Amino acid sequence: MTRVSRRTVLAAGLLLPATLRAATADSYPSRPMRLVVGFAPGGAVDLVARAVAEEMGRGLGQTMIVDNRTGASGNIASSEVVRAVPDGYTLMLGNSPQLVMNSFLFPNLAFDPARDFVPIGQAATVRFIAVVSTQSAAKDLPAFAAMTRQRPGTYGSSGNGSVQHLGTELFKAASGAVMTHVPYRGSAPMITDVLAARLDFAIDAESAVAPYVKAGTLRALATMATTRAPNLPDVPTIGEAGYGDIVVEGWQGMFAPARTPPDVLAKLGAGLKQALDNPDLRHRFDVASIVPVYRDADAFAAFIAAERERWGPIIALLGLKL
Amino acid sequence: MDVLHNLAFGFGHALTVENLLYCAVGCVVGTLVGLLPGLGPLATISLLLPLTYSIPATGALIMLAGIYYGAQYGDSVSAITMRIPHASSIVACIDGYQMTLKGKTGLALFTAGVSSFIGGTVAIVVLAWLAPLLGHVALLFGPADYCALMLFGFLCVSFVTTGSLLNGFSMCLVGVLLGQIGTDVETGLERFTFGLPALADGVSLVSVALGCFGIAEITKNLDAKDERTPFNGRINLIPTWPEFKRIIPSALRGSVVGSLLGIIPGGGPVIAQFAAYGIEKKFSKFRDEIGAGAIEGVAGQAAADEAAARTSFIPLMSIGIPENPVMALMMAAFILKGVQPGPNMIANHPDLFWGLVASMWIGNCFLLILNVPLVRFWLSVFKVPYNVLFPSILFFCCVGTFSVNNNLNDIMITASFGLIGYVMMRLELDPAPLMLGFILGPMLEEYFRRAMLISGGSLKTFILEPISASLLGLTALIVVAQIVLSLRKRPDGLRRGMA
Repeated sequence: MTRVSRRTVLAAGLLLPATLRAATADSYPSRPMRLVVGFAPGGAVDLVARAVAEEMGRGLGQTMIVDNRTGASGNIASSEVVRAVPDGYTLMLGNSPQLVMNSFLFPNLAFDPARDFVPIGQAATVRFIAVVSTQSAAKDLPAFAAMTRQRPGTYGSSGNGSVQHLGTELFKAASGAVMTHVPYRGSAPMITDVLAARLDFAIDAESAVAPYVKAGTLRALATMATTRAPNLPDVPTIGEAGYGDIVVEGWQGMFAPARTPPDVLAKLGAGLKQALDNPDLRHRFDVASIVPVYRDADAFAAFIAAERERWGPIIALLGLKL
Repeated sequence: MDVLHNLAFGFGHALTVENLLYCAVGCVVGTLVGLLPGLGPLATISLLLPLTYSIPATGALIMLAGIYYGAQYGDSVSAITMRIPHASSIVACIDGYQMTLKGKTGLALFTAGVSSFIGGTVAIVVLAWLAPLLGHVALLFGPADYCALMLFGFLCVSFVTTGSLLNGFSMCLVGVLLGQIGTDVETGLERFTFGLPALADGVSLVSVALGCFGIAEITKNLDAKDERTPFNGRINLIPTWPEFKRIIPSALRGSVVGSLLGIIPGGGPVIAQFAAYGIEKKFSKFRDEIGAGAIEGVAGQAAADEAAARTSFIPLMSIGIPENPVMALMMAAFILKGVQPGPNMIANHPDLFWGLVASMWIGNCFLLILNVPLVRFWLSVFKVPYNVLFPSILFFCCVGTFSVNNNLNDIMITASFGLIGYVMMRLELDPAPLMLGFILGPMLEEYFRRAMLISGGSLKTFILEPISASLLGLTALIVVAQIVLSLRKRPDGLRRGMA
């Protein structure tokens, strides 16, 4: 009878996970992957997800299925991905509210976005533009801010705690503008009221306002970024408009549940980088005014940490708790 | 004429073999979506959106639009035959289902089909001649005006109530309360959610409608062993001439109401059906029969929801405002195809705009064929025994509910409303006013608070805005007139009762 020593058994036990991990990394992905999106089809996040999923799936040799789990400001999707098996087959295409704002806005979240997600890489950025109605007398941001100090105004957002809301509060703090917040369900009805001059001001995604600016039905006062939008070359940046440090942007990136094996993450990161170089994907982003921006896992993690530092205090200052 | 010339140009694009095929596919898929209980155009279009990447722009948009208006066409069928509503065929559950109970299913289906055809035709005329002009109507309505419109809408309670008015108003208020569930837009705070994330976005219209009508009806059929839904799949479609004559005026009135409400954001097919039903109840020659299975009760709403579905393209294509979630999805489809909906769309992409308008007319003819002569084939499913049919219907209800948010919790919510609906049915509480309250209540609150925020808390805004002021005046006038009329009638009735 062959004796198996206790030591051998222990060694085998120690080696087993290692060999398993090697096997998963080599053969990964061996079945379709699921890319969870917390927002409805047709929106910016969904659009990025579908383009990225198609190209990454092609690159990795497996289908990547987009799964829209809408609801509760993206928290339903986040909690679903956080609870999934961390094997690289359940991923999320998340945005700044899901990963940054929500952890401050919803104190009772059952998960911590900072701890329970691991970033794979950034995929895209959306520029935000400050607009007023064409009936407004203000031709630039300082003039507008001065006007609201004389006669208080209103601004719209696509909801409490949205980038539009927090971004405008940032602008109010920097400029001393006096405006009441009017929240809407989503961007389209809000922009309608700016078009009709019922609202004085709004900051919204480039894709949502650029068509009106070009048609001359909305006036853009600033691009809330460090560079001008190629689509709107005459609109000054927020720095040029005189409020240097209030960059407001929306970003999207790919995330996996924490404890996903590092080699799987590396493979996904490389796949994402390659997908973002694809000219077809870039064209699809371009028509929707989405800027492809790649940051690798480390740079993205540092960026997200900085975003938390920036938005956390603003949300606390506003006393926002949802 | 310019428009005719443009339409001919549009038909040139819509009548290519390829685009005819896309139109046909859209109409068939839409019809299936309309027939299957619970399934809506939103989920279907979002499912098919990625498939359109490889299709040319005009074809893709013709197909997606076909799904949307196609689904409105056939959505009365399940309401008429089984009392299972779609979001925009809730009122078809009243008279349509009553007609089925009287053995007039065929007539009801014929009425719904022909009325949808009329509604579609009127809306296409509006779309072709007035689209560039009417887009700005969407900008005319501010929060104060919407608030007044919703208040006006509450007058419909007395029209959709079949039993006592007190019962109807109470159910309407229950509906308003149900509508409070979820996150408050103004403050972002959750109301009546018991801390459950599943309720954070409120209860969906599909869940409440399916539960209170369809699932309750099926449950009732199960507990009564002898009296099952009398409908057995055999129908007589062809109406008599006097019956046919009754369809036309109602359908025309419905078309006008639907076309108007379709243009205003926030209105759309869901509201249009109630408005059309209310108008029939007030102005139809046969208004006394409505509620007990009258042709007018089916014709008006069917025409209105079809017309509203098509005119809701106007704000999107003429000023670039998507007025409901389906239109937001259509807007995404336009943008994916490199077309920016907005003021310049008709000028920059005339082939697309006029091609789409022309295809709607072609689709209208496809749908008439699919929904009137061919409806027998769809209905052959009713020859299946009940023990197979009922579980399959429930299965489709689950699929439909799930498809709204891809969320299992929504199925549990629908099931709960099935139970509530069954209890309501046993207690003879009316679900139609509940639906009205559920739809209008949250909108009334949202618009009221928004109007107050924008006006700086001044109630005067409701009087200063001309649209709001006229709507409020009209509402007050109707309420006063009703009270005066009922006071005048009562002594008469008493006297007659004594005699």
